[in-house]
Amino acid sequence: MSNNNQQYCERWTRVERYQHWLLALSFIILVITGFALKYPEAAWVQPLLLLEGKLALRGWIHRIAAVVMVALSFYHIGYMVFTPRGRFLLKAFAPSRQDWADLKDNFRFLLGKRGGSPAFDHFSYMEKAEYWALVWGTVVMAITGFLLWFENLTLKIFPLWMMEVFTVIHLYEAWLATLAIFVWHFYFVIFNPEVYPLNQSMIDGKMSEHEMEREHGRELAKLREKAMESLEEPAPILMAADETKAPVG
Amino acid sequence: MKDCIKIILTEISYSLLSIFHALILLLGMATTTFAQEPIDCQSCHGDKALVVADSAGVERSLFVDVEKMANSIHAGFDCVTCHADIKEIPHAEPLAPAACQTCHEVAATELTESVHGKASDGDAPACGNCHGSHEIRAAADSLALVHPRQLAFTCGHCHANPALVEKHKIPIKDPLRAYTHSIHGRLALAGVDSAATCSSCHGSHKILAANNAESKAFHFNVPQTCGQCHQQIADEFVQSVHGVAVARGSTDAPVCTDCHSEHAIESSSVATAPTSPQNVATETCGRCHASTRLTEKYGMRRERVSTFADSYHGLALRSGRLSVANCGSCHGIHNILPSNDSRSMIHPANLANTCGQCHPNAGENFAASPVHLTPEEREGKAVAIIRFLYITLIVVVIGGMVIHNALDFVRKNKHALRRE
Repeated sequence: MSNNNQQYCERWTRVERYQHWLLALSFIILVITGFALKYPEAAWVQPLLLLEGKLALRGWIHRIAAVVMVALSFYHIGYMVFTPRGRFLLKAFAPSRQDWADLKDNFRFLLGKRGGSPAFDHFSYMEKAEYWALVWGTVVMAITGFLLWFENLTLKIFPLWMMEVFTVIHLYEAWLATLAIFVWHFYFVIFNPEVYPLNQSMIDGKMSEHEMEREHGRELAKLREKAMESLEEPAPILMAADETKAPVG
Repeated sequence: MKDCIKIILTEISYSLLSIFHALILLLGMATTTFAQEPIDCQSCHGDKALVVADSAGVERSLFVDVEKMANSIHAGFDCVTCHADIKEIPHAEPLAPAACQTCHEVAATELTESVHGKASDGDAPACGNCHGSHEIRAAADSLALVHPRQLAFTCGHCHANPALVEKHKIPIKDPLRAYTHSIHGRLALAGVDSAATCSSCHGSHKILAANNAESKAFHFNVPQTCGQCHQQIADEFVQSVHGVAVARGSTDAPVCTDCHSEHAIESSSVATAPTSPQNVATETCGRCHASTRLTEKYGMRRERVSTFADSYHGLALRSGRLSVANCGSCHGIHNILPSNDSRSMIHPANLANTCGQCHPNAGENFAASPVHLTPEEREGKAVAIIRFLYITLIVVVIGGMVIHNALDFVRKNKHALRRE
């Protein structure tokens, strides 16, 4: 699968891409329908509230998207824990001391030091931060969300002031998550000059050798070393998505 | 009651007199000595073209339709019964107004004491302006000018006339329009004769200015006036915190019309009504309970409406969900009482029931926690701490991200920027 002599790695499998886009869809729906409750007079909210007197559409869409996201999260946990590929990814996401070194090195680079940015492994510290922030955010939002949804049950167990606590957490975590997506995630996959207008890897699952060089240099080096060790041509060839499998010729 | 009997007696006696008159006429017609009836008013007043012009040149018809007269409550009356100053034909001009007070003494006296009676110019209504003259129908007759279905238009003849309203500086410009759109008006026009109409609230003959303590429209009499029909509500109101303040003479405390308005009273199911779920917090309760001046004056908490508006209930209501709790759902409507009154819906012992209207089985957890908290009141509480922590987190984390990515953007564009 090469194009113009360009070789590609499989960065994301199809299942992973489906997970990502379902997540993105449910997230966007949750954000829109959620903030629509907080800012009911905003102009962009009005179409959503057209039928509100008769049918609480906003609320139901929000809850349905939440259920989808929670179901997806459980599927994802299963995927990450019970498949070899998932376990590989989980290990790759694990924070390490290297990340802190990378952060410092990258900041020096960003502030003008010559040389390139550090050579990142499968997941850079940016992507690890993104992932764990997502996990944290989903857990917090899901728990507080369900507590708010089933308010009668919650009120049986907790005093009334706790409802306010859950509401405040739900609101501010929403802000944190939404801003993190806009400022962090959208920068790296959309506005980053190196990938603008959109990083294609989540669409076709592929990453070119050039991109690997630039963004995951350490991983590329490790893969080349492995290829060398198997005494085959040290040209980057179509590799299986995870390094537990042998390179495919 | 006494005047009713008097009217009935006089009417019976005059009916008897009419019968006697008729007998005399019949007798007279049988003889040839009678050339014509003693007084034949219809020989002139039966002419549709008969008019008289006043000093300004405005013509007034003098035609009297005997058929209409025959359908009226005064049917069978002789013309001179009311026009007693006619002694011969042709009669003197102009004639004195018909002396209704001869039979309707009480009504006439009341009229002279009323704001209409005391008015000195020619615009003020006399008996005929409201009741008609020759075609006066029984009050129960739906064609009567003072029948519930007609009365608003009768009063509206002057009170919805822009020139007259302007001339007499009447504060309310078009009560007719407001009334016909109101629930009372719509019911009355649909034939519900018990619905409130102008006279229900203002009286009929003894209409007094609203600043007259005897007026039905007088501020402190309003609960009693509305209570004529809405007795149960009036009883509840009188015991409520507002009702007690009103009884004490407070002009700030609301009476019925302060929340419901008067001519335009609408059912709270109508979106534009002040008491509709959409409006009750801001328009009705908020007028006082969100007023800086009044909350200061009475030592009430200022942010009642804003804290409600920011709560889940308030937000859902602002989104258009009318079924969520509004002020009345928790505080009651006419039975509003302070939280330390054991009968109050917001007394701690009653909160489980009040909130339980929508949150069944929620139990005692409601009783312990305050609601309507202002940001100041939340200081030191868990909510305030959490908010502070999150805002700090957001500023630090997102701020850090912005800096990081801005640097990244500049760095990656360095060659491009330098070229420019």
